[in-house]
Amino acid sequence: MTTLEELYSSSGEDFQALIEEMERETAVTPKELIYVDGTLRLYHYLPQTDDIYRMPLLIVMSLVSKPYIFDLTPGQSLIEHLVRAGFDVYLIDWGVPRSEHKDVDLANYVADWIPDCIAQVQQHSGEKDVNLLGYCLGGTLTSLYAALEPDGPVRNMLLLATPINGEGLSSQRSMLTSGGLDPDLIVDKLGNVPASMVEAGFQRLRPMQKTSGQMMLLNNLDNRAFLKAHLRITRWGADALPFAGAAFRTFANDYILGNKIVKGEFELRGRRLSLADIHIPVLHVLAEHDHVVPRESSDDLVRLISSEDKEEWVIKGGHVSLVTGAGAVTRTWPRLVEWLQTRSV
Amino acid sequence: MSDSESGSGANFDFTKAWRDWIVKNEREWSESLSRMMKDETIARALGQEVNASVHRQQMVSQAMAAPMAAMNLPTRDDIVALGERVGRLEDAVARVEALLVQMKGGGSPVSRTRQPPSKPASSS
Repeated sequence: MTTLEELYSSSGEDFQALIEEMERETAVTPKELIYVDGTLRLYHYLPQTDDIYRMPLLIVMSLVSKPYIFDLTPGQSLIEHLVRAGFDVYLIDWGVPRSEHKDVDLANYVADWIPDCIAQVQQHSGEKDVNLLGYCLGGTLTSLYAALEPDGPVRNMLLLATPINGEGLSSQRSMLTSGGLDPDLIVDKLGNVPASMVEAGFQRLRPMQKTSGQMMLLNNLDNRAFLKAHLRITRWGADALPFAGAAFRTFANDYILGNKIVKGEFELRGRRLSLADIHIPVLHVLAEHDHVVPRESSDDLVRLISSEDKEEWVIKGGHVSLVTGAGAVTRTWPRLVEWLQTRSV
Repeated sequence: MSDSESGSGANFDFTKAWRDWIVKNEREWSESLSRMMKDETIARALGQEVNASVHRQQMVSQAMAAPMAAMNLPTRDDIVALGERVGRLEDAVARVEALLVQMKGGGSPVSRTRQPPSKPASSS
């Protein structure tokens, strides 16, 4: 059968049915909503084992991506994997910022909402100690929180592809340093950075990936399992969230241009934060071919924190390979579970 | 379909082979393009285009507001405002849901005594 015949035989209804099937299978690990503050939702995943580890695990998601990547579909869900391994899992979903959230800054996330959610987790679980898991920018927020509250309730920190070195984000930085992109203009005119602009920013990091993905889809029209697996990831990639205006301004000016986190000059409500104040055990997992968070932007993290128990682990694959895919299920997740098990009792 | 099958005689699908070639070379091409876009001149041009698009979007929005109202059609701003209103309603419903969960009874009844497999079971 030729490609054109394949295309014609795959009707629009079939494709729509496939999308609906995928949506039904996404984010289905049983959970309950335990706390809401504006657009923020804090979820608790219901335990599926007879007993669970003592310390709850709070997952902190990036600001510009939706958290269902952690619970993509049964068998491809990090959350399902953790719950079945006996962890008590909570997740922060930051939600979609609206026009009234244009003044929300990184300080609100780090100094207000993460502590609020930790307090909710403590109350709900009855435990005062909490472990944190941060992915991408969620890892940056988590690290800043750990630096802000070095004697706080967080006992261990698991970070996935966490960027902290603004100079390492060379693509984004080049647009800002060249005198081209003006973050202040965008925020002043638009309030929040629209999701379409965030998605275009991601695409610019790997310009041919979308085209290549479409080619791959066309070549595998007869492979339903492949189609679903591929569409799940591309759909998530295109499902970016708007960036709250003030947070984007700080991110662009202080983090990328000023590189203040690495320099120890990042200030939050007048307080200077230093990653050297972090003394808790940390595992930072990076991906070798991560085009979103290149290693130059994330490698310094483990070097800068003062913890004695700290480790950096580089896996093969890209940004998403850390949280989903065959390699994640068979290699990455078991290693994460192993690291967390001994530190969650 | 394997490479040998796709390349066999009359059944050879040229467009499929072309797509495979694109997929195989995507990473190198993307890296080359990304490197090119980091060049200061190109990066500045791209950045300025983003700035210009922001201005353009505002100008078009303002210019279209009156004609759209005259045609009794909603503007993009109207749709965005409607979406945000729905968002606020969703927040309110979520607050009720969280309260109901709280009223149902908080806290997990499962015991928190689990030990890593490598540790002796006698500790629990």
